[in-house]
Amino acid sequence: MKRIWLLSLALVLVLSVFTLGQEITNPDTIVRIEYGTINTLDPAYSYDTSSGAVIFNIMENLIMWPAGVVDADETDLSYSLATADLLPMLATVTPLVDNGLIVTYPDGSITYQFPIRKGVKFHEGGSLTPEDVEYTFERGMLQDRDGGPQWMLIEPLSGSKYGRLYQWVNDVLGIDTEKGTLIEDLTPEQQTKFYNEAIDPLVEVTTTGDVVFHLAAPYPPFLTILAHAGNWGAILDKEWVIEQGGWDGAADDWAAWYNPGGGQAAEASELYDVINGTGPYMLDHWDPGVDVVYERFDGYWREPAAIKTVVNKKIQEWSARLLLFGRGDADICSVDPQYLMQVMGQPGIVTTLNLPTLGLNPAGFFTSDLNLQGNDLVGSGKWAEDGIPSEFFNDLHLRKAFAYSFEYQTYIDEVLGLAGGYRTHGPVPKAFGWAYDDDPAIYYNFDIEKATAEMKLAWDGKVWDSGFTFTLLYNEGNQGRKVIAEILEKNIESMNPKFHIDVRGVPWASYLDRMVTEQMPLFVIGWLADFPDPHNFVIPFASSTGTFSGWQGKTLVAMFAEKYDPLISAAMATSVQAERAVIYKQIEHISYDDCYDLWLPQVNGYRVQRDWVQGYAFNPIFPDVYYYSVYKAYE
Amino acid sequence: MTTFLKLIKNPLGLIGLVLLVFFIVIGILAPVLAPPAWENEPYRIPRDGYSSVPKPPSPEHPFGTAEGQYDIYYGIVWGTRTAWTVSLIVVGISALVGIVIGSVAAFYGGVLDEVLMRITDIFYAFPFLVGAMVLTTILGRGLTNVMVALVVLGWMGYARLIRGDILQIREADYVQAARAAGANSLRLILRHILPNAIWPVVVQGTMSMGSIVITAAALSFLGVGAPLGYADWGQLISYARNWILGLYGNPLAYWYVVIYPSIAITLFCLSWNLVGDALRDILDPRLRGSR
Amino acid sequence: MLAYIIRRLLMLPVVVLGCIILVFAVMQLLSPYERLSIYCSNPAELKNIDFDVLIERYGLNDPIYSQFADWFWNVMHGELGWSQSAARPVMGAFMRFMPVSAELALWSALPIILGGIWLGSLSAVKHNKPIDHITRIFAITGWSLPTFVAGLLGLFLFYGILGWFPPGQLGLGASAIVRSSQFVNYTGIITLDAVLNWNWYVFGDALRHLVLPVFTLAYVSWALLLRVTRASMLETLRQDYVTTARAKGLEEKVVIKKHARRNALIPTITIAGVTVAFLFNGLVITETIFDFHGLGRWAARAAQTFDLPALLGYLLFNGVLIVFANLIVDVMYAYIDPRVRLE
Repeated sequence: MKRIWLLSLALVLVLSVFTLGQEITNPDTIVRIEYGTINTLDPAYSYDTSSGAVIFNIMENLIMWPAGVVDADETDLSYSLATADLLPMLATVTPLVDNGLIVTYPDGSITYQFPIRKGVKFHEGGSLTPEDVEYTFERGMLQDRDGGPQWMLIEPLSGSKYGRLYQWVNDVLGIDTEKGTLIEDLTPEQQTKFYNEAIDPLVEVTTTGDVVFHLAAPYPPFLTILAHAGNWGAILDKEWVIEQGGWDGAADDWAAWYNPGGGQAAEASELYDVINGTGPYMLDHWDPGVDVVYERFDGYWREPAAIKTVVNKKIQEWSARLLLFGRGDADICSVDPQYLMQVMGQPGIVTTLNLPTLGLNPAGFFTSDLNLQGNDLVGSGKWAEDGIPSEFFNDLHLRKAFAYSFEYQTYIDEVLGLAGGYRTHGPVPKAFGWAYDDDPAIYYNFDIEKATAEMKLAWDGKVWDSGFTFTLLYNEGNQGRKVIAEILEKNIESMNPKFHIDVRGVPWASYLDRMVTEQMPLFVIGWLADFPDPHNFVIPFASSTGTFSGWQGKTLVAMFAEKYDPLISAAMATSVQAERAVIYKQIEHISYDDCYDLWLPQVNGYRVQRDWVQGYAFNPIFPDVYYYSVYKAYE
Repeated sequence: MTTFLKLIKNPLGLIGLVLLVFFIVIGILAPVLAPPAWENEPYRIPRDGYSSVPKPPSPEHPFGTAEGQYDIYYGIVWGTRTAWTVSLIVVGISALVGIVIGSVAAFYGGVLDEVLMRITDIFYAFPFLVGAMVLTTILGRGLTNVMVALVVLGWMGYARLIRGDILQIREADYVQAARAAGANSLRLILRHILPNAIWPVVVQGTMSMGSIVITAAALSFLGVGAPLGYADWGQLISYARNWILGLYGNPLAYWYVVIYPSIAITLFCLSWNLVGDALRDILDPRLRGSR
Repeated sequence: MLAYIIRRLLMLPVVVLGCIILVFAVMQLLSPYERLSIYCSNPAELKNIDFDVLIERYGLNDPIYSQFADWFWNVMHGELGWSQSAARPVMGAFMRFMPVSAELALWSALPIILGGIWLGSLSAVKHNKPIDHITRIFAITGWSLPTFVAGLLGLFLFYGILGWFPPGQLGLGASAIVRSSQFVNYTGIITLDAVLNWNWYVFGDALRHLVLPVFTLAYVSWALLLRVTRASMLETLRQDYVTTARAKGLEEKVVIKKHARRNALIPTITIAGVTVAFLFNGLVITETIFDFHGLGRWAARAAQTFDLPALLGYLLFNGVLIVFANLIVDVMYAYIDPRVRLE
């Protein structure tokens, strides 16, 4: 009896080795394994890559980006990030100044006109109408949730006057919705007044069935915000949304749908777990944190997609992903750069390296005028070997000394590893070739002698004489940020025995707390593009009201307000790309001079897929795989 | 002493004891075996570069380097001290707290017993790993905080054990006699009851010495244990997490990142368990005379 | 007996609320900004947020008793809140993850209990013989091996090399069936639902995915049951009635099976009951490695991200589970062993 057992065991063993063939598994299904949490399916609410990726495949925008292809056989990088190359999607023509669909008026206002495609069906059966387009954008802006993406529409459509809806409401109605009447409590009359005066005129349907956007002032990247990939521009079916319990389009009751769940409970939005678009795939099911499955939409207005079912599984554990992928049970796999070598060279797996990326992640930020209250990162808080004073990083020489102390190439070689990386030197990412000045003179390079010289000049020699101690934090689990801190620690401490840097990990919550309260002498964080335009980067990195630059203390913020804000506004006042490029390059040069950030190397993009995955579209602004063009075959 | 002799006679117990002595020696000799790179931070593992790809054993790094180029040999040697610190402090304090609470509850009984035991129930109903994670995330990563969390969630077993034993022994004749002779309660507990009731706690404690280290490793694996780069076996093993599978065609490519720390932690735990098992066989009155 | 049960059940709210107050108290160590952080994991979302307004609006700076009172009021009205870390309501998350953990725990209970008893009686019968030592070393090694090492090595061997037991809860084909409208999800416990739907393909597939996690759990927990069974077997084997049975000339096998083992099982059952209950909150690592979306993983994530509503909901459930498990074990113990009287 036991023998038979052993025999069959051996047989299975042998057979299992031989079943590893070259056959394409599940030819009409794509299995993608990755990690990241999908928070919501509401296109107006979503502001994270994972949620955006689902909407990207199911819903469509007025216009879209041209994409390249990354295959087993070819790497075609003929994508574009230029407004002029945008292709029509649910619109039939991309508005341009040349075709008369973009019109500038003498008062400085500007209109964009979109002829809407006819005969397009939503998954649930509705037909696309121009009213759907108008409704989509009005609903989005009126929903404006805390921490949401709607600033990207409110800002251009209000002529860059407001970032949030409540600010606009306050101005129009002359009230204070933060302290007095809440938006939720506005009377129907107040709601009607605001809607009619402020929102309704922004997006209108013409008598010919086109949709026109009215911008009070020029906003050059406006089309890039509307383009496919930005879920805030994905078109909804008005009637269907109303059926789901959404805003009915009436002028006097929109406030009930404002800021659902306080921006904290995605479920409060009526579209949290339902989605209905015009895209090539429809949602089969979504199990938050577990998987999301798409089925091909056969009534699609273009050719239906090649792949019938797309399964997107969330698998946190790298080993589990590696095994599934290595055995061909998954077609596309998310791989962190440090583990690339475990998949490269495996038969049946194709890795494409050196793809462009669009982001500044990570970047280091010096903080001037540190908040010393309850701050345990600054030691004694005085000029002494055991601490640093509040104004420590106000000095330019000191910041330069730190910039010269970072081993940029070591970081690229050792931390980014096989993926490799590239240097950056300012708030404009390299991917914007037209606005990026690749002048070698404006990069800081690792040079311990220059660093020492700057250190001796800092605060007229006070730093060199008295020495210092402070703590560099990284958020736990982020090995890259730990290495950044350790490289600085090693080189700074090697200059002078009185220089001390401690490196400590804290949870993300505590990291965030100290960042917001301006306690960290140097913090590291990253930004990914919302839309492909330098404006989306100079704002968070170099404006006085920027998300990150706003936390750099009053001296640096004052500098941003004085030197950078006028330039940033000037770059938005013209639509001529060459003029904008000059201004952005100027910002890069003065960023080098002012050395307010530590511009860290960026990782190169890469793709890892089974060799039978073909037609994998590529554009660095895409949040995820665009499954429409993907098919499985050997060529 | 007879207990000790019996322990040595028990083959498995002897193996356990020898292993423990071995770990004590390594712990004591740590500064000699692996001189620290930073005088005042001996538990910080030196790293040779920053690359995440582990490197195989070499003359400079006899056990190789882990993800992030941390020297595995250094981590194992100083990790021995960490293991001793964690296990001794956590088991010591938990047992002490448990003994105090358990014996007070048992001896005084009534409302006090009821209150103390309900508090014990509350802590018992707290899921161990999740509770430890909450505590360490809030207090911050670090060995001290791990120990605090393990003590806070680890004393209840001892309290229940000692309470049960005392309740049994209290009825024993010699205790009744002492009480009749007018011994006061504290004296009664310390002189007569505890020495007899304590043995199950000792056995329990011995067993936990090893498993505490495993639990601390689990916390490191979940990202809330010792700080990155701290000489701790659990930390070293969690560096191995993403390399266990090796490379295609060479599944054992990174054997050293898994094997060395796993052997250290398993042997440590094993030796305590062997000693604990043997002790139980020896001390358990129901088993006496069976050999 | 009934009075005892009622008295124990009355303690239930005390225990559960105790746990919850503990968590509230610990959370007070955080600053309001830190408590807000769960909602700002994506740096882009920090734009245009006025933190102080949010803290005020969500009462994050309110005194502990008022936060607790708010929570309690909501729970009394059936509102457990929103779990940001699971991107679903707490109740929904619980209903989704609970059956997954239950399936793992129940299936693991089988090999843990049966295997533990078998190993324990084996080593008791062969007391101090080589087989006793081998069994014990085998079990203790498992006990001494961190779960994640055992799990990852198992995955490597049985899926990476042999391709037998893949990670995850279901394969592609089976999960398509489970999602389809023909398959009725009665309980969410897939093996059970598969039987109820009379779908043996799904049953087999689910079982295949359960093998590795179940055996990993079993291997690392056998030592506990082995010890208890062994000790109590050794004791029973020296009892008078066993000696009598032997003296009557009964075969050793029969003596052990019919007389000794049955009586030796009493303490084992106690431990086994507790083990299974505790399995629920020991599943964190197994679920992580084998990609099971269960309660443990959810709770671990909630703990790390300060997802307070999720944590509180989890504790509520866990407290009830532990109290009931202990109660059932006590009652069972009293039922089996007439010497024990519940007071």
